[in-house]
Amino acid sequence: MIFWKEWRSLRLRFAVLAAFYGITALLLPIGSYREYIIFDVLYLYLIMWGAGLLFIPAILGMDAYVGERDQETEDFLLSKPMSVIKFLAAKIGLRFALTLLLTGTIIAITLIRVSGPGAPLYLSTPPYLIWYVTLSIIVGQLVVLMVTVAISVRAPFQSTALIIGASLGAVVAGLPLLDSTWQLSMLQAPWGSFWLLMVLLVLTSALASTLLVTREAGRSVT
Amino acid sequence: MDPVIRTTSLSKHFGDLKAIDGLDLEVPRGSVFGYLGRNGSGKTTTIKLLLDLIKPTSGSATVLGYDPRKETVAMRQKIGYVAEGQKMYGWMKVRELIRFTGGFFRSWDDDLAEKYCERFELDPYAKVKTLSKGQNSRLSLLLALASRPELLILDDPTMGLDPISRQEFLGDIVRAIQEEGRTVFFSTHILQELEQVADWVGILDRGKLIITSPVDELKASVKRYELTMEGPAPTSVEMEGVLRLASSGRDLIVTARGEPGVIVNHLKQAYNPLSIEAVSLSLDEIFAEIVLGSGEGHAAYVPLVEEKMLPGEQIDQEVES
Repeated sequence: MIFWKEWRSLRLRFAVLAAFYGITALLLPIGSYREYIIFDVLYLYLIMWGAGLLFIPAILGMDAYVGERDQETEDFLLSKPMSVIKFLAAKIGLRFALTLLLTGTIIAITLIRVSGPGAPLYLSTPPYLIWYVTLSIIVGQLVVLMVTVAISVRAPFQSTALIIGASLGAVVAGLPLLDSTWQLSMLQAPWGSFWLLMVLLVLTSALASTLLVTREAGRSVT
Repeated sequence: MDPVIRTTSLSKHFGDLKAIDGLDLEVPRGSVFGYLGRNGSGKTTTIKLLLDLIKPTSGSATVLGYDPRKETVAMRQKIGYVAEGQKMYGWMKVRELIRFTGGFFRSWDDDLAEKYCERFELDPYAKVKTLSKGQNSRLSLLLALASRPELLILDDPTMGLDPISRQEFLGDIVRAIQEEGRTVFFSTHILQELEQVADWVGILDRGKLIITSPVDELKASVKRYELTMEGPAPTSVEMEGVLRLASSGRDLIVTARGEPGVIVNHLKQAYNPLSIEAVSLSLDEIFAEIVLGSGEGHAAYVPLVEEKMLPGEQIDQEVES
């Protein structure tokens, strides 16, 4: 039942995230970088995606616990015959499953576009690189999710957990991103995608803020 | 028979504030136990300690034979709980919330939930956020009752309801108690409503339990004795069980707890009044007398003029001061 309840409260947010990330994955101008067809370009792309993908668990996890406090349903939920650990495990489990679902879909779309038949890197992408980056993203997401949920247990507001979780995601993703852009020394090419990603993040943040404000307004009305 | 709830020196401190201070409480099985106290006296804290929603600073408790700290889940399976001003998921429909809550309880009875839904006139397809306060309280009660709990804990469940909704809600509680014969632990600060349903009462003040007694016994033992003296009335009375004194001119009013015949005889012998009359008190008045008299650890003396005020006004005045 707790999974059902969590899914009901997350489904709108999940749908919007899926739409944003999915559309962006489809629209990334991968074909225009034929002159830079080297592994590092792919690496940079994936790292940038990693940066974006690390925000998914932060956005999904920001209200895991503090949301109950905001709605004043904390006692209602916690007085039920289930341990707090199980409640948190269920909340984290569902959020991680949704994160994986969304991430897997986006990575699949990206890889098909980057290395599928007719794409510039077809048959040239080493599998170890794909697995390495994919696993790095997933582990990073799990860390961000756990930290965001942990913060949401103590945080006074949902936005606190979101900001700290997203900041952690940015730090985790930012270091290899800077490293790779430094090594490539050809910043002009990926800037377009970089800015696209930034627009995506701003839009996602705006969406998250709108959801928070709407929920707050709804509570004050009811 | 073992009490359903037993606490031993249970304490909960929030910094310097002693919300609960050495609570020794026993709630008999099958009773409707009214837990009385002013706002901030520690009623909700006690309930949260019993349900393991907060950790005690010291002391221990058993609920239905379980240790709330160690056997929380098993204990909660047998408890129905309605919190003070309970908030539920407004975005759920009534039937969704019933199904959601039922998923946690092994003994959940869908038919009973449906029966209560009809009796309480709740629309299963209505969103919870569209319900009135009265309907919200009834839904809370439904959710607490449909698991057929051995112990029903109600924390000021009528707070915020208008008088008609309050009466209807109390009627629902009374019917539910009569049907099931379960133990009910009922916290409130509105005494008239408790008087309708409770057979035991515990009075809490500033985190300390002042009195525990069957309601009838308490009402029979606490009386107001109105004495008219030949000369000026005394400002103190040497007698056990005195809760409060008030005097003006030749009139002396003593509120005391004990065997009325014994108290009347004692007062006659000690003060030789021209007349003495024992007046029965409502639970509301008893509560006011006990709480106002407990402030300094001895019977409090007040000028008689305050006796003209209603008990509720006296409480408010005490709180403000």
